[in-house]
Amino acid sequence: MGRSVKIRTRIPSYEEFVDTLGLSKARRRSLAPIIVERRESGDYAIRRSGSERASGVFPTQREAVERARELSPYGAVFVERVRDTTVGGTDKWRKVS
Amino acid sequence: MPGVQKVTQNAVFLNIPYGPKFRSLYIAYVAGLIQLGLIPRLTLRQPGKKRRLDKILSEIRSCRYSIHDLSMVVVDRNPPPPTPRFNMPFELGLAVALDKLAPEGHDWFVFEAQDYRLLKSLSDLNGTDPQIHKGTVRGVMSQLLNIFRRVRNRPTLAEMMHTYNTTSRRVEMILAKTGAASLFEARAFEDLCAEVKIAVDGPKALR
Repeated sequence: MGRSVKIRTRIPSYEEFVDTLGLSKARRRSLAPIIVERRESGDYAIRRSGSERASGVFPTQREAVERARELSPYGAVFVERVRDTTVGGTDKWRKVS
Repeated sequence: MPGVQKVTQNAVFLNIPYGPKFRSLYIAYVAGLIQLGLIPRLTLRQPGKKRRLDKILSEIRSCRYSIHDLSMVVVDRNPPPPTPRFNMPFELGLAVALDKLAPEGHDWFVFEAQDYRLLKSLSDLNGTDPQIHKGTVRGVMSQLLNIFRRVRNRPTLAEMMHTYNTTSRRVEMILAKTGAASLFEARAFEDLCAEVKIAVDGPKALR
């Protein structure tokens, strides 16, 4: 085996990592995944990861996902699981694109 | 060496060929490094009016590590007369000099596709073992794991291959989104990095 180095640096979070790319705020925002999450009131909110404010609220998850795809046709969309199944419970997310 | 430049301890300068034949290995380097918690850097990401050589030197100096993939250093048969291209070995030379001269040091690694080719093409490096990836994605990942030994949260080869496969499936989307003609354009590189990081972190990327 040849030369090697030990890596002791911490693994950067997504935000820290994207910061290192030296992008504008708008560009960073455009790269952030979109999240579809169920609210306590039973409807579904969509928001960009890292943003506090919802971009929209929809009565069904399907409508929320459709809107998320429109907002970010090429970006990642994560949907909060709302049922306990064999592939994941309500504490998990599934990536739809 | 004049001037003081901040060195990013987890940044890796990638000295690789920019061309369609190298696309899968390029994605492999980006995906593998990000999975290892490192930050890949290319010269294409630096805007401005600086002379290209200054940009390259500045980028190498800002990185703690560099990788030099010489597997595609061949004679360019396009006119004017067939000519070898020296850019990549030259950048390797800059990194070697930096390692010798910079007080904070710089670790550089040479990657090749075939055994003994480096011995013939660059015999000044005799005594340096190149990482042989055999021109495959798995070979690149495996060699990255060999040289970068993460003390904690060390990924497996299977995880790195999974990230590569997930990211590869999104390449056409990245090109469509950025309007770039190739992944070697700055915007496409940035999107590629973000996509890899999302693939690596999954829901952990969310907040």
